[in-house]
Amino acid sequence: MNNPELMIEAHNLRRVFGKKEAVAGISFEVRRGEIFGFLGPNGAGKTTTIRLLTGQIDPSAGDALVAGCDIVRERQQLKEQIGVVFEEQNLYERLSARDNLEFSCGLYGIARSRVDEVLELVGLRDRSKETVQSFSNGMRQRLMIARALLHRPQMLFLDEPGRGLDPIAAGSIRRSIRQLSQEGMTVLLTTHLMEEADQLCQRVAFVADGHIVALDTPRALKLAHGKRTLTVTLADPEVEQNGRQSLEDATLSMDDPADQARLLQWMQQGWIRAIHSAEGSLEDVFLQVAGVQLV
Amino acid sequence: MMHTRRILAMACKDAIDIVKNKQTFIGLLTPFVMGIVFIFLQVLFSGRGITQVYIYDPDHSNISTIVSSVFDKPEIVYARSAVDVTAEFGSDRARTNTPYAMGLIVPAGFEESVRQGQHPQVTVYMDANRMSISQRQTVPGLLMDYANGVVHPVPPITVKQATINPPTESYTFDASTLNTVYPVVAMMFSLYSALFLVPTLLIEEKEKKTIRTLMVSPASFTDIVVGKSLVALGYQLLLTLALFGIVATEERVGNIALLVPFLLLGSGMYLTLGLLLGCIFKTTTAATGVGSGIGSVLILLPAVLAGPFGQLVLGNSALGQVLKVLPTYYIADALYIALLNQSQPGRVLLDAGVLCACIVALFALAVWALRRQATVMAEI
Repeated sequence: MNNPELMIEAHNLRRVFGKKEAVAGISFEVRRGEIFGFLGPNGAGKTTTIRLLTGQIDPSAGDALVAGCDIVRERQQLKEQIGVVFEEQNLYERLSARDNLEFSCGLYGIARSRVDEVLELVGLRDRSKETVQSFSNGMRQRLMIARALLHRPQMLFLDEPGRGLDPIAAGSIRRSIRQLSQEGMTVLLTTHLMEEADQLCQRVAFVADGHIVALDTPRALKLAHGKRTLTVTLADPEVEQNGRQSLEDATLSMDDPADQARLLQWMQQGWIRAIHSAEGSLEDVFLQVAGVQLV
Repeated sequence: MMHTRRILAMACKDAIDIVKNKQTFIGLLTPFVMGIVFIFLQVLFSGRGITQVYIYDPDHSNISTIVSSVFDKPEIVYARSAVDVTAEFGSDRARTNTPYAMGLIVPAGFEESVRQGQHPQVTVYMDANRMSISQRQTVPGLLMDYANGVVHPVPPITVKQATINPPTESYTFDASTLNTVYPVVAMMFSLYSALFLVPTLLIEEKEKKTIRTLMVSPASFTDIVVGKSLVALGYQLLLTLALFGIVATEERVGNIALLVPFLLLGSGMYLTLGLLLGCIFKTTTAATGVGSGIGSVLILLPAVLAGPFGQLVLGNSALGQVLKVLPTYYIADALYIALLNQSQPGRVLLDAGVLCACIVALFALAVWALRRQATVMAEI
């Protein structure tokens, strides 16, 4: 283990709470600089996996290296290497944005001048003296990202970053994540929003009942598991000769020989006005692979 | 392992948060209000203006000034003769309506007589309606100390002490009792702030889930707890000092060397008790509710009944003995000993021993509860 190209190496991680096995032996790797998505419905084990990887709880079995640190034996070093943005907006509400960040500076032993840098990065510098109570959800989320970036971690964990945000705020957060990735930051995010994962992640792992049921790039997953279909727009030439236009759509499977023959026939007859290929969505893929709906 | 920088960061954050939390801030100002109430009660019950002291001291020695120092800004009236002073208080302590709180007869050539070992007699008349117990106990000590300063080390004088209006069996409320009891009640209540403050600081981290951020930061659980305790301790001591400044205006301060360590021991006990509450409970409402209940029993009863007022009301009754089961009794007892400047080494040792044992036991319980709580919190 300990490949310098890998930021996370997890081997057969398990976590049991009482009789419930929240994480049931998962293994995966995250490459340096990658945006990796953990996708699954609520209760699938995504957040527990983050808690394991960030050293908040011990695994019942298995082991993992994060940024080269063992999650159990090198917990203190691990904390210096990671930033975590939690699902719940856990900020000190009565304090200003600056006070929140200066407190973190004290915990990590960082110069306070870094506060202005991260506030600038998330676009909150002008609002730094306002209390968090007066912030919108999107601003709070950005402040939590600023807090997680304060000590220049190598690895950023984001637990449901888009939850509860309006489309504009969610878009802003996604742009920030993409920018961080371009600057070399490794990001692991959990989400149950397929659109978010599709737009952001270079690779995704589908999680259901504590297991990883599929892991690949979103495109590869869609190609491998999505329905390969064509939507064909047809026109009836006989009807059109009488001065009327008659268009209708037909959906054909690219894997069905009968549909292939039908497509060839329509082309020869000149009935086809347009053809669109249709990949399956990640949501469809998840349903097919995991056998459960995402939400 | 503890880390000073992280502890200070935690303490600093909590201090700012307390100031910005109106509810907590107002709650923490309550002891100051108690101090103001005390001053109001002083004026209401004492019903007197300037304390007058009647002294015959033909040599105008320093002894008059020193003995009068038991009062706050006394007015010293010098008598023409010793007979005038005796007449004012009555040769058989018969006069009860004298305007003077204290009378003092210092014989002519007092200091010279002391040096020659003639054991001159100093006569002191004290009005118990105008002088508290501690004041009455302090005066002979001051006289002895003064005389010792003239000839050391054998006590060279005999003090003849007479008290007019001696305390009766049936208790009557007066300002002197207030002077003694109120500072202890106020100080005990200032210690009580730990029962409110420490759980609030700790539980809010759990309620708002900010504890999770701390758990992924380099701060250890010990850093977090010590940082919070430091804020509570700092506030407590500041408050106690400020409060003492208010309530001690009428009284002598007593034995500071004894008072300070017992205030620290008291703070330690309430801090560890608050820590335990903060670890056991998950909501501020539950912790402060239980804290208030505990506070009423553990603080008010010993604070009022451990001292001279308790002796008057309870004597050696069974209730007085039951009171000694409460660990807070030993804080109150020590504070009374210190304030009244009593020499009670046996009781002081007992008080210190009980308090130290309680602190260790409560801290061990709190650590056990913290470990358990930390595991549970991570799993939530």
